[in-house]
Amino acid sequence: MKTLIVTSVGKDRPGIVAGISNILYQHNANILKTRASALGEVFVMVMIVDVSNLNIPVPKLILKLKEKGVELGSGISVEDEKTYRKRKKLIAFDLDGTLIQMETLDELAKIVGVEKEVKKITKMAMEGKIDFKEALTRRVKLLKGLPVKEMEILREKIKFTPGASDLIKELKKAGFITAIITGGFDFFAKYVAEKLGIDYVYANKLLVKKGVLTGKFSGKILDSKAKLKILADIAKKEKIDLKECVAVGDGANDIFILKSSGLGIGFKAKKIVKPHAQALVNTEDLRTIMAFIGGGQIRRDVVKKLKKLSS
Amino acid sequence: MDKIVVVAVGKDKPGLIAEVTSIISKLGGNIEDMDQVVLQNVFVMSLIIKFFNPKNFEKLEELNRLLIKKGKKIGLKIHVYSLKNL
Repeated sequence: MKTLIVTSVGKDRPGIVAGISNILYQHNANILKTRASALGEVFVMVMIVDVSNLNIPVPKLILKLKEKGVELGSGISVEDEKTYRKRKKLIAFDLDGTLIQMETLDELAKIVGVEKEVKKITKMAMEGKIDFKEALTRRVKLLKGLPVKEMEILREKIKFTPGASDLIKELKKAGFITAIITGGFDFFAKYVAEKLGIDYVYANKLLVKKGVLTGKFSGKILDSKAKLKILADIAKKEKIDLKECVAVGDGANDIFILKSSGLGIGFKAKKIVKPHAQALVNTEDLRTIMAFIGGGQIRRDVVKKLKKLSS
Repeated sequence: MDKIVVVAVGKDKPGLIAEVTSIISKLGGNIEDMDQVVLQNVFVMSLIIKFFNPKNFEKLEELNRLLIKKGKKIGLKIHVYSLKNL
C-alpha cells in the first residue's frame, strides 16, 4: 500500500476538510486516518491517505492537493510516509523574502538610483527566466560605488518576517541545527544570523575597497547548485542525512535545495518553485511551518504553540 | 453558542469524509475537532462542529435530516447530537 501524509494548516473556517477530502474522493484516494483540531483561530489537520488505487498519477494528485491547500488555508504539505516519519535535524533558510521581509538588493539599488534596472533583472531571475549567476553579477555591477555606510543604515531597517524569532527558538529547543544558505549578501545574512541565533551562514560576499562597493564579488558566487552543495556539506559534517534536512525558500534558486532535502517548504513561493516543494506556506507567519516539521517532534508541541499564536 | 457532535460508522470506502463534510460546510458548519480511523475496514468518524452564524444552529434538524439521508445512500450510520444534551 502506498500512503501519503497530508497536513493542512489554516484559519479556522468552514470547508478545509471538505475541500481536501473532495479532491481525494474525486481521485479515488482512501483516507485511513484523520486527526484535526481547531486551536483558537488555527486549524491543523493531518491525514494518512492510501493512494494505491488512484485514477490519476500520484504527482498530479499532489499538485491538486497543494493548490487546494493554499487556496483554503495558510499552508499544506504532502509527504511520503517514509520521509514524514524521518526525524528532521537540520533546517536551512533562504534570506530575502523568507527570514526577512526585504529584497536587500532592490533596496540597495534604490539608494544608488538604479532601482528600475535592478528590479527588472531580479524579477526575471526569481522567475527562472535568466540564469541566477548572470543576473546577480549584472545587478551587483550596478551597485558599484555604494558606500558601506549606506548598507549599515539599511541593515538597521531590516524587517524580520513575523514569527521568525519564535520559530528559530522553537527549532533550537527541539535540537535543530539552523542555517542560512542564501544567494543574498553576507553583510545582511551575518547580521540576521546573529540576531536570530542561527548556527551556519553562507551568502555571497560583496567586494569592498576604500569603504565602497566595487561592483564585484569576493570569492565564488553562490547559485542554486552551490546552495545545495553547501547544505550537503553541512549535513555531512554534522553526520546528518539530506533526508533529515528541511529547506525553506521562495525563489528559483531554492529549487534544488527544496527538492533534495527531506522536506522542502516553499514560503510564499514563486510560481516556478511550487511544484518542487512538498510543503507550501501562503501566509506571512513563519511559525506556520512548525506544523509541518515531521515525526511528531514538534507537532506534539504545536498544539500549545499555535494556541499562543492565535491568542 | 452550543456545539454539535456528529458520529458516523460504516463500511469503509473512498468518499465518506468528502460526502459528510461537504454537507456540513454547505450549511456553514465549522469543524473544530475531528478524529477518523479505519479499523478492520470499518470507518469510524467523530466530529465536533460549531456554526459561526447562530441562526445556522437552528438548522440542527436540517443537518440531522440531510446527514441521515446521505448516510443511508453511502452506507453510513450517522448520529447528530447537541453537545449540551449529552
